[in-house]
Amino acid sequence: MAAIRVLVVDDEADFTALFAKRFTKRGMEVATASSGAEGLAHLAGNEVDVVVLDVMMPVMDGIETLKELKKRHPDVEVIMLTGHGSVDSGLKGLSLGAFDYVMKPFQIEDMLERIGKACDRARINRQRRPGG
Amino acid sequence: MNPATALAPAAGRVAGWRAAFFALLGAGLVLAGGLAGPSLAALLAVAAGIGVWAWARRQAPAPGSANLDINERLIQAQKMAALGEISAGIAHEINTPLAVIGQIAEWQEHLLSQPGAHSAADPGVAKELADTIAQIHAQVGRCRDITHNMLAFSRRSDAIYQDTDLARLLEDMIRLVEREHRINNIVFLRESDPDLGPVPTDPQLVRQVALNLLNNAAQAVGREGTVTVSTGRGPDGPCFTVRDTGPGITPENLERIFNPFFTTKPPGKGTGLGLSICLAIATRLGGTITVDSAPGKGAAFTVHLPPTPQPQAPEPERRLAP
Repeated sequence: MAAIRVLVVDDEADFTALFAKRFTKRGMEVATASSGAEGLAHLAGNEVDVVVLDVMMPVMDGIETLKELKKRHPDVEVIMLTGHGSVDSGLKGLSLGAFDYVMKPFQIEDMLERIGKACDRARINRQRRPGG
Repeated sequence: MNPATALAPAAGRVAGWRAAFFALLGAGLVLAGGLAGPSLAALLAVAAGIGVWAWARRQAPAPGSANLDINERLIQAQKMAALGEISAGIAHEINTPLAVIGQIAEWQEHLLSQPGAHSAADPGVAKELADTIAQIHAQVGRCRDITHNMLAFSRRSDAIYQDTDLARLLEDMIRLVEREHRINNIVFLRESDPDLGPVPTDPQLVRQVALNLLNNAAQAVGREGTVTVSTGRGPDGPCFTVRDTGPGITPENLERIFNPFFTTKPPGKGTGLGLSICLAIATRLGGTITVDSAPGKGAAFTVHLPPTPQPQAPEPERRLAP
């Protein structure tokens, strides 16, 4: 099976760099973006299976980004990641179609499994779409 | 005080196109004011609700503490399908004028930012105008949240069944709610059936249901109490229960809690859509939700899931754009 293509969007560059390093080592293709707009720009030109999206970002927050992302790329699955989760943003994120809502810090094995499940869905989504 | 009335004297002080601008602003405010808040909820509840439930009630009791037989489940599913259609129709109809109001407000902001746009008015008026336009944006946003939730009923994308560790899924959602309610001394207990095994269901949808039920339970308890989450296998398949030690639900309310826009929470605290969306999701997954509650006895909501993936319903002919 083809490598899982992940895009991680977080305004903390240290976090995305480390994430990319660790998950690339585990056989994933990882791209990084430091803002919602940058993430959407990447999606416009590249195929991605799973987006790991930080909830709290300046300018365009995770929920805004999710809304736009799902509108443009309904097949892509999103895992919301948050250092400071709230029930409200969880409810909002899930009802907007986020696959999962995970609190930082996470265990790498746990996150790998979640990304795997999300990727399975993304690929089912794509198969179901006519011509996809 | 009606904000439009407050603006009327200001409108008298300006001339030409500016008068038209202010009139437009007033109209926008009245529209936004009329649409926002309980009146919208009431309007939609009447439209989306009465017909469907009057019809459904005649044929079946509301989901209550009793187990539903197959006939009742079928009626429940039909009811949800009808409700989805109506909700989507209304949400779609309202989204269009909402978008217009939002755009008008943006245009007004633009006009107001032009040099000399409010030279004739006193600075206090300009400030008040900016504030009221911000209010329009806020209230339009609120309406959008409501219509968005209504569209959730009708989202027809098929469920995706994946082997799911129910206890772990619930644990994620419990942690989220637990953090927020730690200061209220609410204790969350877990009682998961170790023999349950993976459940074939749509984890994305089940997360929504679980988080809604947990949030309701914590809000029902308020302070000093317990929320117990258990998993197990019922007579029909896997299930999970969220039980709280809150005040419980009166028999009259028990019949209405799954109705859209029915809420006992203070205004602005709940849209009254949470439970109805939960039931719609459970129905879509081929399951149901039952509730067991009495005043003073707390409440227990049980989500029953089918033991095997459900055949996907055929796509409807007509697709309602969001």
